[in-house]
Amino acid sequence: MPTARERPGWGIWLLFLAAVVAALASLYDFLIAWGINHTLGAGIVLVTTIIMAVAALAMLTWRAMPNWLRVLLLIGLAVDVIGTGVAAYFLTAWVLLILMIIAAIGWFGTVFSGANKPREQMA
Amino acid sequence: MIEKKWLIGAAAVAAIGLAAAAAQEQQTPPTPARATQPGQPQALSPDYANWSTFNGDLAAQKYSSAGQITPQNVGNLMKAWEFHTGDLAHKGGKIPETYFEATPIFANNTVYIGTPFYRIFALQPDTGKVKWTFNPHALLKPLTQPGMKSRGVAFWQAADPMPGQPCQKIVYIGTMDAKLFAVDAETGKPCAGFGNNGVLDVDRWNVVNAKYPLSLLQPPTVYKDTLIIGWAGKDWEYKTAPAGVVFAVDARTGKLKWKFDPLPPQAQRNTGTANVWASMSVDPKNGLVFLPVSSPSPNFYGGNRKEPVPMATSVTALDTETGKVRWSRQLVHHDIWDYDINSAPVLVDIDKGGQTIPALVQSTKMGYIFVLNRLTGAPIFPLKEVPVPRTDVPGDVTSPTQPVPVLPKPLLPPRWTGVSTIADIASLGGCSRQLKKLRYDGMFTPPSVRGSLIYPATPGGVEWGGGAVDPVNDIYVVNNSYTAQVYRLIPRQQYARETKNGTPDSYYDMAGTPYGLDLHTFQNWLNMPCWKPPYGSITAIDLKTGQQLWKEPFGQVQQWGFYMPHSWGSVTIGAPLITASGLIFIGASMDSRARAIDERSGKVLWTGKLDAPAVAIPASYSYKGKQYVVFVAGGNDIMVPRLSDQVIAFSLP
Repeated sequence: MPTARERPGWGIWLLFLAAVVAALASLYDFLIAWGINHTLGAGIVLVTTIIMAVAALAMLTWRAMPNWLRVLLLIGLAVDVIGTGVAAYFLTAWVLLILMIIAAIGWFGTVFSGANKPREQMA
Repeated sequence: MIEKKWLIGAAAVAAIGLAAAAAQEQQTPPTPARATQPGQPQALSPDYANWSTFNGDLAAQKYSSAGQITPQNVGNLMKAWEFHTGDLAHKGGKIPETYFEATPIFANNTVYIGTPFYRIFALQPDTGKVKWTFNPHALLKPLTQPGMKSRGVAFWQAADPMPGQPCQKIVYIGTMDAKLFAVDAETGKPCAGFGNNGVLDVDRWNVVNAKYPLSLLQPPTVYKDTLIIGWAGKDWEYKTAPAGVVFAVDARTGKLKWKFDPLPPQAQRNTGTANVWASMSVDPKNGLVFLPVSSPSPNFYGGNRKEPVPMATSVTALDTETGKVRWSRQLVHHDIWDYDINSAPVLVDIDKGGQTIPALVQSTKMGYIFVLNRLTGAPIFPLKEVPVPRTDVPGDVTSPTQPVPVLPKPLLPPRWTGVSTIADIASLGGCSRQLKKLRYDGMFTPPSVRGSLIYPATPGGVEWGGGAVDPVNDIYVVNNSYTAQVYRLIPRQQYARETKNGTPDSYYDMAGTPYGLDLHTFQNWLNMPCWKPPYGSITAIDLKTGQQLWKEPFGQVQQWGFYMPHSWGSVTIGAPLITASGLIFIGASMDSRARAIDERSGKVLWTGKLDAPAVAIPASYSYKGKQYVVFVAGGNDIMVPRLSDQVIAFSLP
């Protein structure tokens, strides 16, 4: 059942911003960064960070998102953040790795702060 | 096919036991090293201030007396200049892919670079600005190689130059189609007196089994007024192939002085090659040139050449004036693994117990380091003739034993490292399933019809760069790979069927023999190596004792952009240089980095970024009070699909 009165909390905002910057960093890595440009690995993290940004944007803007979809997206985002972080480590893309740590903080904020829960539950 | 693992284990243990027992019996005591008496003219005196040959000097020591860059300040090293030749081609393009493997030559206050399109660039040593270029408009077809390849240029200068006359200093470059060009080192203009208006057609001497041109990819060795010329072919293609003749020509005119043929006359009906495609070294004081001689044709089947070919896969010393053999030592008997001796032996005088021993150090694809008396070929450290696995291929034979040095300790373990757990999981057991089909009996497992696991395989071990030596401290440094490949002989009729609609890249014809060959790296469907790391290391050896001083993983494997752990190391092609200040400079790794390593500890002190792996020997020189270290970063598809035309120099700010 849609929860029409949900409002976005700081966690999802942080995750979204980290994902957007990470997508830009990944684009730089794919096109320019020494040692990893034009590699499959850099291409993969470009795709995963774009997916991350789109998913976070959906959670930010779709207030009436069904709970099951919200849970699914949160699970998917967790996998995405961890996977991209591991990939960033092996690509030695340190900026991207830091952004994934920030994204992970955002994810925990989204899940545990309660800011993204319906207003009536917070009352 | 062996189906039970325990059977393999039991057989292996039994084989090792028997081999060890037999080896014990067959161990030959070392010949006492012939010590130099005071006054004997045997000391080396290479030119450590320049970098005027492929290996830095004629002794192939790759040692520079420049000492401005030290372990203390190497962290400040910066790019001094960068130059791109423009001679770059990738797979699938109009021109075949490039293999830019040149050593930068510093001589005549100029840096000379030869490119895979066989152009020569003369550069300012301090800025990289072009002084002149020479373009031979060479044929850009891969007649004997998978792509366009060059290891650069050679330099000669007259001992008694005639003032005002051209070509008193000459730069040479060879081409894929066996042309040797000579140009004036000052102007880049062809030297009309050399060959035919500045070009010598070496293929004119290709008269026995001339199946392909004698590709001049390795610059000639220049000694006094003589060029000593080896060549590259394709010894996997035919049973009979051009005999591996080495030519000595006059440096001014190109006139033939002498030639050396490593094949006995009767063998030339059934085989070929045993050529010298790598660089050579020279002992000027004793008038000796040392040749690393490759295997006879074809590489992986020897049923056609059962008679002894004693100088194949050998290190051989010739008289520099006559080309007559002074001594020869075969390092692989009846080679059917493509274990070519592939680098110039490093010459060094070892000070031991108050005596000076005239030595040479020969690295090999097997990872064995042979330290020999360079005047006699006798081993300085003990060698064993070790029993090895026998072939089960109808028509072929194998040598019952192979020479193995006791010291220095082999660079690779005596048996392969086993199946990589990660690669096996990623392929759902694919690596293990492949292994079960293969024959593996340790070092020198022969190729077989069912497929044999070969470790180390044809990429080595140690590649064509060889090692470097610190002649002051008698320390030898060498980088090596750990590679596993599958050699599968395919009966002729089956080979014809399998290649009817095109020949896979991994197939080698060996025309004229009962078998073709499928040679591929032992890897899973994701191209992950099926064998456990390490994949590359760098080792320092004390030549006084033969003991390893240190051994470290070298480089980093990079796959799809992902860097694997440091401890794995990287497959390595290229070589180190050593400076008087105790630094080792080396490219040679998959991760496109230049490194400075502490000679005492093996620890990396500095890394520099390159456009591609520096699959070449770097050079170091001093110019106008500043020391430079120059790398050619050309890349090689074997390592990682990243090619470049970059020449880059580093110096202190």
